[in-house]
Amino acid sequence: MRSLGRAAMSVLPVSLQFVLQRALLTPVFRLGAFLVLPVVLVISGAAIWLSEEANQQRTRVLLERVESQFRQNQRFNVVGLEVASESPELRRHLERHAGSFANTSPFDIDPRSLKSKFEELPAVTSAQVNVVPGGNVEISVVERKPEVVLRQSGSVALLDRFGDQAFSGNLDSTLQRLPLISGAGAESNVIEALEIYAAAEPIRDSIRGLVRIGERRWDLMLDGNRIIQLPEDNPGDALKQLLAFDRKSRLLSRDVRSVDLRVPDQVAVSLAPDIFAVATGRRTSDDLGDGA
Amino acid sequence: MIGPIERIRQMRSRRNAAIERGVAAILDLGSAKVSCVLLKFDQLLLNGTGLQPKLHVLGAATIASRGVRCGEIQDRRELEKSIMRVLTVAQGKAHIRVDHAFICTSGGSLESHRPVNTVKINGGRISADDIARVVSTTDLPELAEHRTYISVQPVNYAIDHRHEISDPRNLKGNLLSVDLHAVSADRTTIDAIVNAVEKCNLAVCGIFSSAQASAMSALVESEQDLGAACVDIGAGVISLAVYYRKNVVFTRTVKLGGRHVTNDICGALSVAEPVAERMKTMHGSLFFEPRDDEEMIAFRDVDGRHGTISKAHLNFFIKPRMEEILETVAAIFADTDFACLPGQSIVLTGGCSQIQDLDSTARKILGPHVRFGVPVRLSGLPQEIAGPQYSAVVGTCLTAMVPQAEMSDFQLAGNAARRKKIGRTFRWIAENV
Repeated sequence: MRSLGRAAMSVLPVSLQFVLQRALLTPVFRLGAFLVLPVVLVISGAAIWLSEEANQQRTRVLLERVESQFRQNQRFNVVGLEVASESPELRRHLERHAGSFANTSPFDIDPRSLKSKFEELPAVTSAQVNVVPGGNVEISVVERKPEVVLRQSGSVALLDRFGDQAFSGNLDSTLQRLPLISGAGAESNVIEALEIYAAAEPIRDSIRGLVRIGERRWDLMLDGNRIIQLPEDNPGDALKQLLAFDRKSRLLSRDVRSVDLRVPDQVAVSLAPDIFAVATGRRTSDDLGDGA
Repeated sequence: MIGPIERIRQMRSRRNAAIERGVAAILDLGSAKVSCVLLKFDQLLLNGTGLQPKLHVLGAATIASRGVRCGEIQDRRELEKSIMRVLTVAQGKAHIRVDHAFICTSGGSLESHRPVNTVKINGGRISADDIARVVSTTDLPELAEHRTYISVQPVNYAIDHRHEISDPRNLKGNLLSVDLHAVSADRTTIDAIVNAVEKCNLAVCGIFSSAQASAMSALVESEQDLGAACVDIGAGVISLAVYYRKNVVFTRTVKLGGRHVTNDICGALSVAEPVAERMKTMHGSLFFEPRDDEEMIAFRDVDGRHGTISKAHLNFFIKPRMEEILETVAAIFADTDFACLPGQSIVLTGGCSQIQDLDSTARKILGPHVRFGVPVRLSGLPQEIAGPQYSAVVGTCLTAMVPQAEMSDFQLAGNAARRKKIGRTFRWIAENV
C-alpha cells in the first residue's frame, strides 16, 4: 500500500482502489505479486533472450571482456614477495628461488604450484603461500632442521633426523656443532645414530664420528684412533653399559685400541700393540655392576 | 424466504467465523457520515456470562455519507462507494484486510413488538432445550409484506406466576413463558444495505439498529438496569431505545434530525448546505443572550453574495426545530409506559446533541432527568471517534460481541434437531443391521 503511494492510488476510482488495497493486504497475493511474479518474469525473459544463438555469443564475449578487464586491473597487482622463515640464509635462498613477483597480476600466480615448488626444496618441510591482491605474495615455510653431518666419498651433506637433506647457509659453523656420521647406508639410520650420540654424551668431546659398517651396525670412532664396535641390536644400551663400566674402571682412559661390543654379553678389548696385552673374559652384568 | 430466526442464526454463525478470524469491520451507515471501526478480537476472556472476546480497535475512519437520506438508502451505488472509501481508509490505517462486517443502521423505520409465548415443561426442571423451544416456537406478529424482523430477543422469563427471571435454567415449574422484544424494519432498506455491503466482498455478520447500539454504549449499567431511555439525535433520524432490566424493551426511530435544522438555515438564508452546517455548529445555540443581537455572523450565499446575520436571528431558525425534535421524543415517551419505569433518566447522544445549550430546553420538554451521553472508551479507539456522534458505532462494537442476551441461544434448538437426526440414524442402524 505505502509502496504504491497514496497519491498514485487516489487517482484511481474508489472501487478499484478498494479492490487493489484488499489484494495488497492479502499475504498470498503480496507474495505472488512482489516475489514470485518478478522472479518468474526475469528468469523467463532471460531464458527467451538467451535462446537465440547470437545473444548467447554476445553474452559470452561480454563476460570474457569483463573478466579480462578485471584480471588486468592494475589495482590488484602484487607488490612484492614476503618470506617468513626462521633462518635468514634460507629466506635469502627462497627469495632467489621464487623469483620476482613485483607488479604481477594475482590471477597469473598459481599458489598451489608455487607451494609444491617450495616443498620440493630439501630444506623445507612444508610451505604456505598466500597471495594478497594489491599486497605481497606471502610465503611462510617450516624449515627442515639439520641434525647430523653426513660425509660420504668426499662430499658433505646435512641431514635431518629422517635422513632427508636439510639446508643451512653457513656450513662451517654448522659442521662444528653437529654429530658426524659416515659409511654406506648411514643416511637411512640417522635416528639410531642420534640415539648413540645421546648415549655417548659423557665422552662427547673425544668422539670423532660414527661409521656405518656393512650397512648393519655402527663403529664409534674416538680420538687417538680408538674404536668402539657397537652391536647390531640396541647399540645405545650397549654403549651406556660400557660407559657405566668405564666410570669405575677408567677403561677408555688407558691405552686401549678398540672395544668390541658386537657379541652380546661379551666385551673384547684390544690394547695398543706395544703394551702387548690382551684381556678377555666372561662379562656379566654383575661384573659390570661391581666394577670387577 | 428464510424466517427471521433462521437469518439471525445464520448471522450468528458468521459472527463466530469473524471472531475466529480475529478481525471484523464495524460499519455505521448514517445519514451524515459513514464510520468504520476495525476491531481485533484478542484472547477470549471469561466474564460473568461466558466466553467473550477482548476488543481492540485497529483502525477507524469516518467520511461523509452519500446515498443515504434520513437513514434510507437513496442511491445504492453511492453507498457502496462510501463503504469502499471508508474501508480503504480504515484498512490502510490498520494494515489488515477484513472480510466480516457488523452493520449499524438507523434506517428502515424501526418498530418494536412484544410477543409472548408459553410452553409446558415436562420433567419439572427447566433445561436449555426448553428455553430454546419457548423462544423458537414464539409466534411473531404478522408483518406487512415490506417489513421484516431484524432482531428477536428475550427480555423476560416467567415460570408459572413468577416473573422477572433472567435465567430460568435449573428452576422448576410447569409453564415457562417468555417476553420477547422483536424489532422490525423495512425489508427494502435492510436488503439494500446487506447487498451493498456484500457487494464490497464483506460477509454481513449482523445488522443492529442504531438505537440499541447507542443505548449500549451511552447508558451506564445502573441506568440499563433501572430503566432509561437513550435518544440518539443523528443527522437524519432520531433513534430511541428504552432499557429495562438490562434489556432493550422498546425501540423506535423518527425521521427527524440535525439535517432538518441545517436545511432550515439553508432555506432561510439561501446558503449552501456546508455553509449552513458550519453556521449551525459554530454559532448555533438554544439560549438567548442579549449580546447575541450585536454579534454578526458573515456568510456567503449560493449566488456568491456576502451577507450578515445576527446570532440571535440565526438561533431563531434553530430553536423551533430543536424544540420540535424534543417534543416528538416526548410524545413518543408519552405514548409508551416509560413513565412507569423506576428509572426515568433520558440520555441524549448523537451528533445533534452537541448543539449549544440544549440541556435547558431538553429539561424543560423531557423532564428533569436528562443528561448527555458519550460512548464508553474502547481500547485503541482514536480520540476523534470519542464524541457523542460515535455512540452508535462504538455501541455496535460492543453489541457485536454480545449480540443477544445469553438465553436467546437459538443455536440450541438447532443442536437439538441435529441430535434427534443422529439418534434417528442410530435407531435405523440398530433396526436394520
